[in-house]
Amino acid sequence: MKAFLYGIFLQFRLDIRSKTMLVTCYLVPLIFYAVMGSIFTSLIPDIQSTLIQSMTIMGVSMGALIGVPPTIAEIYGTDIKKMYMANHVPLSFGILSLGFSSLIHLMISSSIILFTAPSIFEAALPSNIGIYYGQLALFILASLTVACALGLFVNNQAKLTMFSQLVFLPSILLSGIMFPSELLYAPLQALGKLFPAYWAYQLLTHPFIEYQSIFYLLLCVLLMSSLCAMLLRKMKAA
Amino acid sequence: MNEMIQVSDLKKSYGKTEVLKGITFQAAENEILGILGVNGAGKTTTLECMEGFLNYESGSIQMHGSIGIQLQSASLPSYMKVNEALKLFANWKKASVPLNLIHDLGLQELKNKKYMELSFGQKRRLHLALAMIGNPDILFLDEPTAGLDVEGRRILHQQIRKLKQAGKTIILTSHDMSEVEELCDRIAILNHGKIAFLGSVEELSTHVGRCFHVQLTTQTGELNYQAENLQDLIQIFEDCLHKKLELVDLKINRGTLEEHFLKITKGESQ
Repeated sequence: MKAFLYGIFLQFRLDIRSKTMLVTCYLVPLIFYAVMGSIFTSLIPDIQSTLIQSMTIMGVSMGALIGVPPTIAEIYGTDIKKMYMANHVPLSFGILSLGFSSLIHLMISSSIILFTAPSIFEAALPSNIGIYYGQLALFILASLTVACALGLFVNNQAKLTMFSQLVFLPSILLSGIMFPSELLYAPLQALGKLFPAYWAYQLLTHPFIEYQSIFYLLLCVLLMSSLCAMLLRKMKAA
Repeated sequence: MNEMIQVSDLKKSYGKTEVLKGITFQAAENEILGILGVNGAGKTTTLECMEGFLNYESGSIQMHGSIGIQLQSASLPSYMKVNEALKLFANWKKASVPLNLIHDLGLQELKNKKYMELSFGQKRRLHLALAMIGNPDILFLDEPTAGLDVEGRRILHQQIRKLKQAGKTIILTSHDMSEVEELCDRIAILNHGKIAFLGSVEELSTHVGRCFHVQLTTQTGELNYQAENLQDLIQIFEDCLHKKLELVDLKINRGTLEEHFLKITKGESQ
């Protein structure tokens, strides 16, 4: 347990030193939030009720889907994996430490949006902050399991960038955070429902607890975690 | 001496290709055993079976003690610092960081350097320190000095000797014959998945034949002879006298490990 906790702490520090995580978890999402927040609030005044949620979903999707997979591929696609195995470190340590560390980073960047948006853009705070954080944690977890599965499945960095974008772009464009998903054609609406961002937007903007979205996000966590476990077992056997 | 490793009739195939065809050897406490072989001879497979990275079809491997592994190709996250890596692996092995070894390997002054900032030799030293965390009884060193400069080699050789003196069993693979000759108590030469020779370097000379290489430098040029005994040597000098050659330099040696190694691996393959 001590080793695992130190591993998470260490990974948290490595993420800060690594430019990729710094850029994808903090820099780009927060710049995007500042710019888009200004544009959205001046063009569509109604957006103030959902600004925090949409900017948070954008930031989490970028941090998880663009920032995490390359680090996973660095660990599992190189000799780092062998080094861990040779030194009695469980193979799952890489994704678990990175997962927990990223969860903390994404919670921090989401909190920055949550607590600055009301004063900067007069955005409405969620009615229950405690429930909001619980739902946000579920969404981050779902996004991170997708990111881990991506990083384990595609070891090649160039291919990984393409696959990450293939998941990230529809997540943003079809989830309803940029424009209402009801405006999309039915097949695109159905496609959007395959990504956690769609369900997260439904969940975080709903005035009450929305159980259908919780169910789909939990299902995503379960399916992606099982896929990660399977890929790790396959890797160990190989 | 206590036997620390016992490998018996080890067999391993990749598909239809039989890589190890029944390998048997032992290694004792306080011993450095060198495993040699040309590329594809099966030494990495043997090592990986012993380290637990590979499954094998038949035979047995018994290890009487904890193991430490220094891999030939290893890596760490680029932004991880030396002291962080040491602490991380010490935590996983539930052991403390070996401070004496850190000092001996000259890692003390590198402790705040990131992995990506280390030179090749510094990385090798760090990998050895990581393998030694937990004070293992058996140590696997896969080409520990490959690509190192003279100073880097000297530091690592010194450390390997110290570890042997501390009673460790060391399994070492290397393509550098002078390193093997200098460090190893015994050598196992693998060829086509079999052990072609197992014994000391001196025994290897006897095994391949007591051949002396005689190099005469005269005013007219260099002459090379091979002699198996004293009679042959006398004959060579009588020839020189007979031809009235004027001797400038004379060298006699028993043949290097490299020559013996090549003789064995070529002989086996023919």
